[in-house]
Amino acid sequence: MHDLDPIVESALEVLTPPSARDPDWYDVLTRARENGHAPAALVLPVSARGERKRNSSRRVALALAAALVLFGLLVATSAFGLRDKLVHLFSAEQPAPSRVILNFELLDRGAPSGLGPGVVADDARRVLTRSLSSGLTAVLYAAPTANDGFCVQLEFRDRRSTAREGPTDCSLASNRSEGVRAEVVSTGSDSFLLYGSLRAPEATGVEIGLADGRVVTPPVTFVGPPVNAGFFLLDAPKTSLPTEVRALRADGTEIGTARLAKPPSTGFVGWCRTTPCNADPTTIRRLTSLRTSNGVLVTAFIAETRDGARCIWASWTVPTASSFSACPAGTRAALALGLAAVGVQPDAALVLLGPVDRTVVLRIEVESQGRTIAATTPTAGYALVELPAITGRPRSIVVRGLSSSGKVVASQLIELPGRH
Amino acid sequence: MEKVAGATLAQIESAYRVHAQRFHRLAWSLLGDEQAAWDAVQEGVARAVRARDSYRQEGPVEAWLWRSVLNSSRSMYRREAARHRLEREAVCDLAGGSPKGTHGDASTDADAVRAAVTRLSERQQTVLFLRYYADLELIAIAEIIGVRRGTVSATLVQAQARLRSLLEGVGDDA
Repeated sequence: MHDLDPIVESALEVLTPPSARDPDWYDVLTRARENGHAPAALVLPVSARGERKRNSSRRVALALAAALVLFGLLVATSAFGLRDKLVHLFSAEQPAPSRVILNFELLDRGAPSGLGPGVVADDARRVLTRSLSSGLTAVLYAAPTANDGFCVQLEFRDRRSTAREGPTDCSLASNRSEGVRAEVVSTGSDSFLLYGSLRAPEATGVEIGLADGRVVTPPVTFVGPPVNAGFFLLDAPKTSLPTEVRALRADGTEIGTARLAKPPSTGFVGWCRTTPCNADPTTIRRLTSLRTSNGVLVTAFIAETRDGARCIWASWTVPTASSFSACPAGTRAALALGLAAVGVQPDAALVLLGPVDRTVVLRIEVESQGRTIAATTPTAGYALVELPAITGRPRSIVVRGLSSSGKVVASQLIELPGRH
Repeated sequence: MEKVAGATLAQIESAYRVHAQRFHRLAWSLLGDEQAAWDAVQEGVARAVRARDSYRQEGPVEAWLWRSVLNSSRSMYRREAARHRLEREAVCDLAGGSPKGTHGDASTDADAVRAAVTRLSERQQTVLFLRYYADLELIAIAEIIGVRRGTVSATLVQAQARLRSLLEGVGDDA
């Protein structure tokens, strides 16, 4: 570096020695996806506004094309006696925002090899919007998959239009339950949302049976290729939870029924259906991912609970979803060494830790039987670390938090659980 | 990997993987906190991912990412640097009082350099760090921070002279 003063050059070398930490591309994607949670200065790039302007003229053209196609479809369906079934051109629906596209992309990036849904994220579209009694607005996005299926993602927006990620689901495209599928997720302490799809060619609508005996018929929005499905949302108070969804033909006869589990599921993320404790699904965020030495992708999540606490958990699929979590109440504030949880799968043990006060703890070490067996640096206040095989007894570990000077500032003794 | 108008995710990922450590050194230099620096890098690149449609191919993707990381670091510095310093001092007290200078020569040197660097102007710091840590040519630095090459050259000379005088203990307080 010929134009630098040697004294200055050596001084700068001392200032910031190279970091031992590896770059984390998954973390970048997650942050990019979660612009609603990002620091205010980073939420809305100027370019995003330009993107909307560019898209608006394209959307006008698409809308005109869609109107023509819809007119044609209306004429065609009338001719075939399917007047009640209006099919929208999927590609003419409003494109999904980049955070949703990224989330769909992560379904494949985060899935174990060969188990990804093959989602075509760039083709994601907004298919439904519904105002909820909780004050939120639910938006349902759909994206086709390479094998003629589709994935959906729910998003909840508050009155300030702040978006919060809801569940992402690739199971609705299944033809189980005679073409009708539905799930129920919590949207607040006393309210739930049913979202579902209809994929029987002759189906023109659904009716939903409620726990109080009433039957309701929400509007169904049908979209054409490549998704070829109808979608519906139903805002359901706690006192009248949905119990089943029936797919109907135009003449009112029943095609099939999807019965809903009681109590309703509390939401899930991606290909993992495991959400612990009392977590509010609208607050779920992915923290970090780790591929274990036996090739299993483990993803750590965090969510607020309805009683004001915070849950962290990690989940994986071997071959069905498993998870471990830590959700004691009253743990919103970062502690010197936060919560710690340990999960064991057949060939690997994992420790999930957080939130760690990063002004105090810069390095995490795991000790077993008097020797350090793993070490890591917390990412954004959390750490997910794989432990090497532990043999002998007692089956316990000590997690230690070290300061920048290497001093142990906090430690926890953790008993290892039994194998799942 | 999909192609979008602007930069592709693959381009950004590739540049990120190649330059992440140097991004981090730049951010660390500006923020004075290793962990906060990683946050700034991750946020800066995430911001670029979100705004990847805005990349106009007027220069390499790397330069565009440098600008994003630099802006992210500056934002974080303005927002949190003062708070971080207060917290570090408080933690030092709580941990039994480990005053500066007790961590060994390396920390002492780094603290002295950091103290001197903080007395440079923001532009001087930026030019110096981009030249040293990013190893960027002056013209590239000029494009990233939006000034002329001659301004970068002059700023670099001033920054080095001032830093050297500060390190030698003859700097003024201006």
